[in-house]
Amino acid sequence: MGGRLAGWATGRPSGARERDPGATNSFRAARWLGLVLTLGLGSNAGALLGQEVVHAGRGVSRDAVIRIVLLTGSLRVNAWSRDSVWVEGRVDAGIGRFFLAGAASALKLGVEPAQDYQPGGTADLDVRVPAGARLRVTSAATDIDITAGGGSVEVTTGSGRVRIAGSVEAVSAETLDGNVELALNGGTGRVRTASGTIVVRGVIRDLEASTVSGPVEVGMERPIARARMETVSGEIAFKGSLDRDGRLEAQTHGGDVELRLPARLAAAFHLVSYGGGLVNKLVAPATLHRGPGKGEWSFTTGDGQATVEIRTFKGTITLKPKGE
Amino acid sequence: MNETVRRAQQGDPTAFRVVYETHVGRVYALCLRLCGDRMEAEEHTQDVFVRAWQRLDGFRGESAFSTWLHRLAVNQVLQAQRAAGRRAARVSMADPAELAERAPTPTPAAPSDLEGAIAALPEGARTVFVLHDLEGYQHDEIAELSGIAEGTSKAQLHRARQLLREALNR
Amino acid sequence: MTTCETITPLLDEFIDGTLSLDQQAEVQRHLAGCPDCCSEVVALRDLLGLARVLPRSVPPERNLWDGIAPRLSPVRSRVRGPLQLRALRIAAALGLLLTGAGLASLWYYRISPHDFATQARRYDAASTTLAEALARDAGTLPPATRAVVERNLAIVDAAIREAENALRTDPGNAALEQMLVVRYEQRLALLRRAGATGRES
Repeated sequence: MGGRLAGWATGRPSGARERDPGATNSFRAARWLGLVLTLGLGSNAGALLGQEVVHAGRGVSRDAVIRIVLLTGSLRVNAWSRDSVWVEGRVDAGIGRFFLAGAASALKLGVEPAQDYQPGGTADLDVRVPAGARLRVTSAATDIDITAGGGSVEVTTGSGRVRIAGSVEAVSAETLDGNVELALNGGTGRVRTASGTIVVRGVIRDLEASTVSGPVEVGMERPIARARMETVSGEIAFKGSLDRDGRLEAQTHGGDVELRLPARLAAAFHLVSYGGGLVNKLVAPATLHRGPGKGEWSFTTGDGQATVEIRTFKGTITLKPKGE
Repeated sequence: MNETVRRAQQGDPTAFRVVYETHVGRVYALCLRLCGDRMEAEEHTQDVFVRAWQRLDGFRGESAFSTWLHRLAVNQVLQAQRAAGRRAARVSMADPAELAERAPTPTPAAPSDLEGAIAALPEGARTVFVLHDLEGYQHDEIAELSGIAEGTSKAQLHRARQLLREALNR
Repeated sequence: MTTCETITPLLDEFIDGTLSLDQQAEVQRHLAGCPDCCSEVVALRDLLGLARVLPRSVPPERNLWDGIAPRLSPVRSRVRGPLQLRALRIAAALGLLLTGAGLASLWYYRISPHDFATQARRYDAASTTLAEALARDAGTLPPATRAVVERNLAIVDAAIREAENALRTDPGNAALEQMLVVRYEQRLALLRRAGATGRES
């Protein structure tokens, strides 16, 4: 075990070195004290501080289902090229104990809440998973940072920042009050939050993004097959392009919608701003047809294979060429 | 052929959602009993429906749709078990230092005594018991699906029944 | 002369009814004079009796569809005719309104007043049930979470009221109806998420 840890100290990827940027001062102080006590008293110092130090691992299959349960604190998950899971971290005793259990094809790990749960404590887990792992994260208030390597990711949380990056077949993130950022290199994404901000970058084939009071900001590096975005009071900004038969839909109540699309995009547009307006910098004004309902416009560019459908109750719709 | 299935075959995702709602309970029950683990069963169930969507074109209506779907589920779980077995063996051989593990705590499969006892059976015995005694497969079919000899299937069934009786009598 | 040792291996197939007629008769003859093997057969039959009454269907403990839907390749989608569209609407009205993931698909389609009324009624019922459940569980929500839920519900409710008022003065406006359906679905999703957070916390 000692040799294993020594290997980690020198050989781990750089992301793992960036320890606890968001940790509280008291947590930092406790860890500093823990270090001092470790040097002076030996390896039980963590226990004396009421903090569990986690070093745990398990061989798993390359596409194992990895469930992570962490109610509070911070969680970093990074894919690696090995068929195993490795966890390092610290858990304040007041919030619970670390556990890792299951089989090679389905593993569950995290912090089992203590019977006499003491609010204010935290946990900090750094997890390595096989590149093809199927991750399922459940949390209440945790900052979650996942760099995936090809499997799938499902995150369900109450609050806390969620960031998912890398290559993923399918991402699903659901939160009540957290900002969600996807920086992907393909696959499908589904994000739902109440008051959080949704930011999506990189490459994605199929996107669904829904928030109530937060904005949705999407910037795509390659054409997207399908994008569906909705917010009630937030704004929607989309910059990118569509597949030849792609579909883009955006829906708000009060928020503005801004689309930056290629000037040569061949698409059928249907725009509704019931009580707002339209700012068109994308096509010649003569192209626009009003109706049939109040605040509706429609027009087609090129052979119109793609579809753009925007509806807002009282927001302003702005169409701009992508380069602007 | 059922109208909903026909629409799903034509690529209608909403119809497929109805297919899912109709069959998910039976597919999940089958997966849960075959693998004995709730989390794994959930994953298998999801994979079965994704596979069903991809292969709906191949369903010709010659058997009941539920029969077709169940066969898909059985194949899914058995294939995954075979692959996981191979990989786990390889990982253990290649990476022994990482197996610094705590004692696993299996997920309880279901409340009833028999469900629990089935979940606790060794994998081979459990597979044959579930397929033969719960799903009505014959030994020759089980042999074909599992890649074992028919005699092995009979022996596993005998073993499973004995173990279950012992477990229930405890 | 048959013995228990020669009969025992046949008992599984005996109760499964897969022995040949000769073997079956042989086992029956043995059973007639052997209480031990008889009790074996009874025990096996009891076990199979228990197995037969196990539920054929077990609902998963969580919604698995959310992990399936994003994986369904959109390339299967075809242009739908009016009949299929109608069936799709009916399917949606029957169940998908109550399950969250499905409603957004209604964006695609023009919704007739009849469909809209049906969906609005179902939304009302589902929303009331969820709101009641949430009110019961409100104590389990941390105060900050509760504040987020209330603030966002107020935003959605205000939007719904505004769009419903507009629909009263502009009845049958398909775009308004479509926007309202999405708002309804967002309200349901919010209630559902809040309820799940209460249970998790």
